[in-house]
Amino acid sequence: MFKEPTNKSKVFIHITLIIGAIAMITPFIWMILTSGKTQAESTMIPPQIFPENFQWENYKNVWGALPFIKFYWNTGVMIAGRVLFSTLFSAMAAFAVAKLEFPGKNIFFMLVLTQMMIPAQIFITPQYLLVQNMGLLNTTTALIIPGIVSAFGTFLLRQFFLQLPDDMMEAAKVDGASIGEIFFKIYLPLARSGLVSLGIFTALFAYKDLMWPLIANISQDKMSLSAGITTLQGQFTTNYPELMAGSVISIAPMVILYIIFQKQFIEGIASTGGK
Amino acid sequence: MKKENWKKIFSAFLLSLSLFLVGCNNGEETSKQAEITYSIWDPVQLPGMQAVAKVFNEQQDDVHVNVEVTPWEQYWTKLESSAKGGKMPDIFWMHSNEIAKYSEGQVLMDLSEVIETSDEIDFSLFPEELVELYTDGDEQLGIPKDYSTIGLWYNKDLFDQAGIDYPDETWTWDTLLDAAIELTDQEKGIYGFLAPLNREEGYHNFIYQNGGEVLSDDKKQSGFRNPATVEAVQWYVDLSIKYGVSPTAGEFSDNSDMSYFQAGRAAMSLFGSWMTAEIASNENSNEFADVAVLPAGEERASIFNGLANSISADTPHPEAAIEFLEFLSSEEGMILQGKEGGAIPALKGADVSFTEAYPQFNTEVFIEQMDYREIKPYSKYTVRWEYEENDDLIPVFFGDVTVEEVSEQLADNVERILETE
Amino acid sequence: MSIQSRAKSKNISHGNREKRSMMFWGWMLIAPTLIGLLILNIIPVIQTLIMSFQNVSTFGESTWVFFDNYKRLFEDPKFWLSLKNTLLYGIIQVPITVALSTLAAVLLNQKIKGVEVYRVIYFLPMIAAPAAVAMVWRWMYSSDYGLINSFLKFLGFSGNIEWLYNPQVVIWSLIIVGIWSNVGYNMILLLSGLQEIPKSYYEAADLDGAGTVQQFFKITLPLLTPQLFFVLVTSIISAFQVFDLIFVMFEATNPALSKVQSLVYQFYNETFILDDKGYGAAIVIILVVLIMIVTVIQLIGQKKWVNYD
Repeated sequence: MFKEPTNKSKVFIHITLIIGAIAMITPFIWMILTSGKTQAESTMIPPQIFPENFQWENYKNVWGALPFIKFYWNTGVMIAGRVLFSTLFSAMAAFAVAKLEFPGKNIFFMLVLTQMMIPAQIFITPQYLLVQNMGLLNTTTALIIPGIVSAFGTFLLRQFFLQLPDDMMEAAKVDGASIGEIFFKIYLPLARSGLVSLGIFTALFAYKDLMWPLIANISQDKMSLSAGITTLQGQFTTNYPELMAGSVISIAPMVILYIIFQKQFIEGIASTGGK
Repeated sequence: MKKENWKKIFSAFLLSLSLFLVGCNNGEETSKQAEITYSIWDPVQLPGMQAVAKVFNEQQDDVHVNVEVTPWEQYWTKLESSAKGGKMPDIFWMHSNEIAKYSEGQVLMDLSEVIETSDEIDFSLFPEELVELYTDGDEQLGIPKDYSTIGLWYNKDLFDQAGIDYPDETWTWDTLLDAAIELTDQEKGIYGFLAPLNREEGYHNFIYQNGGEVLSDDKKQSGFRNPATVEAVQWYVDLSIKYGVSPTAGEFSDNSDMSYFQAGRAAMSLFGSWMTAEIASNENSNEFADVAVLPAGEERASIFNGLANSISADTPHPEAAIEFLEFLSSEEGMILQGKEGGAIPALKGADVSFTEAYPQFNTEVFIEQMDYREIKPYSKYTVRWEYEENDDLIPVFFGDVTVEEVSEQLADNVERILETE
Repeated sequence: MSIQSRAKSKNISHGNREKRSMMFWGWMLIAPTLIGLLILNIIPVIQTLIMSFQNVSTFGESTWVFFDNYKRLFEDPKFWLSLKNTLLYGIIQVPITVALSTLAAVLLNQKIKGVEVYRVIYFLPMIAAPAAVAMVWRWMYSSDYGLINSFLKFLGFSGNIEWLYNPQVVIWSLIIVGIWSNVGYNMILLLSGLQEIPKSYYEAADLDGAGTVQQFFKITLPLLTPQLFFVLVTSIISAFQVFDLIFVMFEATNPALSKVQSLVYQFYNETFILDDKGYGAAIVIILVVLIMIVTVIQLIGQKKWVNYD
């Protein structure tokens, strides 16, 4: 299949891919177009595609109605906290599992595998009660807590460490380095691509997480973006231009990051799956 | 040692530490005062509560009350977690839907002794159903703050235009329906009546007027096994489905009943007494609206309910909180509350302060209806069976099935909850 | 003691020290994750299991009700509907998504221009917050003003489909959005699998005169099975957990909600809205058992079709 396709089949491939691409992107375009319409324009039959004058007013109204700056901040803190803790802790555990021999290792790795197979909803009520008992509901810390360690991350990084040769360890040991030093100075830097993949994966899913932020933080100024915009519907029930403006505001930062770092994003995600 | 004990020792330690620090502090003014928080959920009633707190704060120097509003959606989650963390507000509102849970959790102060010894509180002047609602065994866990009944609000302009007499105590279901048909003007988008899927300000009133019930007296059975209940709800649903004098459930998802009424697009609607402030705050509805007693069915009835003020069992300032509660429940406090027009004070005699706040409306009807009041149905897990009832009635209000067709299933679902109580 | 044996014992003690240091570092390095997993995951699993046998009281003591929650569940028509919706969603959404993402991955693996642009666009739905996604779809599904009905009308259909209210249709509305959201992610995973297939296989097939279609079924598909298997397993697990889209697209008063609500939605509602944590726990236990069964079946079944070479 790596031979050059014929021109005819090329046309066919492009047509198929373009139809798919249109289906993928139309909702986003429609979101942006609607966000610029007046309410009258948005409810025309048949629909009017482009707004007469782009209504920046809608953005102003939504921005004023919801504390978006706080949503951004809370989401940022949540992502930073989860990425930082879970990649570091996962890397440590993954290294131990991949490169060290010690009693209890296999049991630990079994725990990791079991956790990965169980759907997250089973943890969520006890986690909620835990955070409640700690008096941490309605705080940005609450957003981070469930993502502080990652079984998946441990599993993923283990694969990376397994691919690295053992003899570096032996050589460093002869030089008198402790295992801690060996991990931080030699192996961790070599696993950088794995860490980046895990970081992107963690960040993306933290940003998309809805149920936990929804239950843990009920005051608006402690909500994450994804939970925060669900409150839009209550406020602007049928004012779709403003609802769409809110949606644009909420997805814009991630989409911009994605477009800038698309290669890292896609490769990072690709390396988290399969095998 | 149990966790609780550690907590106590730790807080005792902190307390003595803070006392020590305060002692060193050459007696600044604030240090003598106990700061207490009064937590409420209704922003409409904030002025009334603030008025009471203000007078109380000015009358004495020992206690300072701060009023704090948390919207209903968050209020209970917040109260629950603060109760678990031992950081409840000192004094706060309690609701009939939630009291069972809090009384079981023993997080509320037993007020029976306070009531017995107080000179300020005369408990015989509070509606007995409400007193009972906030009682658990021999413990009194809240003092009624206000009560509410439901009124038939109408748009005088629309009645004048149609040349129909305003609703009054002679009205029956038939009068209501006839007038609603007459007043409906589909071209102008005007409806004669508003019949949304709403219990307290909707079909529950009609159930009791028809001699039906929502729950059996022993709270073991659903009233939907009673034909009178089914008949009343069907009659109510037919207002939108069969007669078209009310918007449909679909239309209500776009506009609330209040927005229909305030926009002048509805001639009549049921609203609770607590909505009076909302109707008065809109200059159109303030002008054209008035209120009458609910129409009579087989009998007269209006759903009635009321909030209570409760005190946290482990407030660090029990005396201060009790002092404020006494003031809230005194005649003076009740009148201060009523004058702002947020809610009808629970104390007999003080309730007229509410009606006096609204000379433009015939709000006396809310007090009048206390003669045939019907307490808002409740059991231990009210929220849960209300959800089942609501869920099963949704397709009915969309006209897909009749009440009779779902009543069996609805009753089963409600009783499955009641069984767990 | 001879010199030899002293050297030996030194060696042993050296080995012991190394072993001990290994053990020390091993435990140190896994400690945060181990403690975190225990507190946040392992103990909660046990707690949830216990709660499912209890009437959970918010403040006071929870009481044991043993199988009452489960009994109530099996009598609850809403539970059976949720179960049916969840299964239906998974069984329809996953195969279509996997088929479409395989198609997209194979096409993108060709030597054509603009591969990167396509890749970026196909992956875009994965980047957006589910609440925003659900909101725009809700708007496009609007029966009067929605883009989809207008488009259908433009194509000559009647275009009066009540995507969000018709009980017969709602599950399909959800499935469509589910497919749209997941195609890009699976495509990326499959594409990386395709890129690992050695070119020489195709060159050899060319020499044998095998056509494109033949090559797809003889080479591409068999060699892609490990990735396909992974994608299938994870897709089914996540499809059975569908919640976000339902939560945002269908409001609580929607009469068709019961025809689209999933087990996780019902769990959320019972646990956090109605505060019936024991009943909610029973629902989630059923969900876990369901997912386990399906996963185990797949693990057993994979031997028949997955090709690990």
